[in-house]
Amino acid sequence: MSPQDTATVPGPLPGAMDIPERHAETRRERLAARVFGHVGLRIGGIIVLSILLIAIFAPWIVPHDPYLQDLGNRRVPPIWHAWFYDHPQASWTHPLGTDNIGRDYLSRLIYGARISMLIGVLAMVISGALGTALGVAAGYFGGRIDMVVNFFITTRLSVPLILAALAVVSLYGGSITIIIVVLGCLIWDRFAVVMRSVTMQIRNLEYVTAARAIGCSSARIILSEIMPNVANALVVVATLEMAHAILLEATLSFLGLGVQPPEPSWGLMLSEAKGDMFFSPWMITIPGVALFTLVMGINMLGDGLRDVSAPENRN
Amino acid sequence: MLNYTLKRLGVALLVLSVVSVLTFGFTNVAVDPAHAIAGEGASDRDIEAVRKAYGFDRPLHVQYTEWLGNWLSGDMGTSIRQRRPVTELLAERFPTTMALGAASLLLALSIGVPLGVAAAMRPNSWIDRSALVVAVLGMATPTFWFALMLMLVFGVMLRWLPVSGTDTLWHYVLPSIALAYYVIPTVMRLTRAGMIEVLSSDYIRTARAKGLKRPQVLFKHALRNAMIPVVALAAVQFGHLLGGSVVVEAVFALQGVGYLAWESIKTADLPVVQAVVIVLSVFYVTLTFLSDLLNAFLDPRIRIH
Repeated sequence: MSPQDTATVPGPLPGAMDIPERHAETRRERLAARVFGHVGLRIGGIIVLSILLIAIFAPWIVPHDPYLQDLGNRRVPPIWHAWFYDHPQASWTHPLGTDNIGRDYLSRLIYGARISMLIGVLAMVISGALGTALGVAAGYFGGRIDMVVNFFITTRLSVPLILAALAVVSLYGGSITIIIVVLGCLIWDRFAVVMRSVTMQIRNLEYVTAARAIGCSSARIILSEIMPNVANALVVVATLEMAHAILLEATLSFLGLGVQPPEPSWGLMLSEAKGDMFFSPWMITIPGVALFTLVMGINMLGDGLRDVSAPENRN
Repeated sequence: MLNYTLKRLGVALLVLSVVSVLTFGFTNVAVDPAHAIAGEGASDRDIEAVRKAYGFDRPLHVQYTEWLGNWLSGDMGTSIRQRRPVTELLAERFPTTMALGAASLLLALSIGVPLGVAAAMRPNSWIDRSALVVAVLGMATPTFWFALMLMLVFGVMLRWLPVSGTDTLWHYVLPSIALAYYVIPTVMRLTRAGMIEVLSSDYIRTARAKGLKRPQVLFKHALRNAMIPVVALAAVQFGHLLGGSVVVEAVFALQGVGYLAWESIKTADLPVVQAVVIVLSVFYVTLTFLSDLLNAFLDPRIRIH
């Protein structure tokens, strides 16, 4: 509660009890206004939400079976080839055309959203848990623990990321679970770095000292005093790392060492279409645009959340 | 300064030894190396024979000590698939990757720094905003897809540049652009932030007040100081570029270290994979160490911390 809030409370008058409630409402309204007034946040949110819904409801919205091969209808171009080039094969049956073994491209793209979203979210959760635990511990306790965590971070950064991911995934086989675990264990560094510095900034603030003075345990201080106050930064890093995980999965799959065929990962679709890029360039354009749109949407959402939650934008 | 240097050196060596243990662990414990060498479909007896022949039946710490000893004396082992010393393979491929990395870094600096300066001179102008858009777009574009699009537009549609191979300098143009594209946003943002900070400092106001010409203030006084973090970053980014070259080399079939690593990972050629991971780590750690020293040398406050 800010000083003005208490100043406007006119003593114990009848009805004074609703004042905090009305304040809560206006605060929520102000937050809503900030969230919906931020163009980037709105666009990013709509993109991510739409792709998330597409991923969840994929089985009910795909026009065809994404695994069904139709060798008589291979490399059918997308619908706009019928509009602009009078291509005889292009039609609404396959709005985005078919791939080199006749599978419907739109259906594969829709199922690919599931893989990207699943890997992005779960790898982000794993790396977020690891990185936050390390970063908060380092920032809160400092001293030796900080030194050890810093050493972990330095070591992790000195391992070439893509190469390590490729090597480990290839050793254990490219199942989606393995990819999630490997990526989760590799991209926690930014969480740790950011959480460490944010925790360091607040660990000596009055309310933390007060909690310590009344005898709260470290676990309790971390959970109920530190965590709620680092949540903003955490959400921003989480969006960045989710985008990062999605790009890495696509890269691994593109290099043939990630998601294995016949699964329709966007990176794998690009890799399968690479051989046809000379005659059917749309085949490498479409999954790339999908990947770009999703990552862009997530980044815009993250930037927007940072702007909205930044202290200088409050009130 | 000596104290600081020794401390950093100690950390660097410790990091490298952990990386070596991790690499050795993953390639010798997590998978059965005898199985990898014998290949798919080998019988149990073949695998057992390979295990004996290569000494994989001995205790792990003995194997690790021997392996590390060989490494330190310059023997990185022999490639399983190509049956040649790994050092020879690496020596063959390194120039290509170094050339690619250096070209990309130069390109990134020569685009990123001017853009950053222009953006810092007029914050929130159209230059600043479009530079920001470039950075945001760059962050969301997958490197390999950008590389494919470059191939498609400049190699296939316009036929200006060759799309694969290393025969002439022209072959390096598209791969360098693809690799640089991902560093440009970082360089640009760091230059912009540095310039904005420096331009608002007292000595710049003094320089302006005593009537120096604008370009002189901008380039001689401001840019020089704003470049310190960028130079340090460039060293670290070079390490990242070498790692990122796996993707670009795979797309353009450029026969560098990255391509070698990719091929070796696909064929489970473990000694080569080990070697590439460790050599790239050594590079990264060395570059970070040097950039830390440079920073500490230029900014004494860091040394005390």
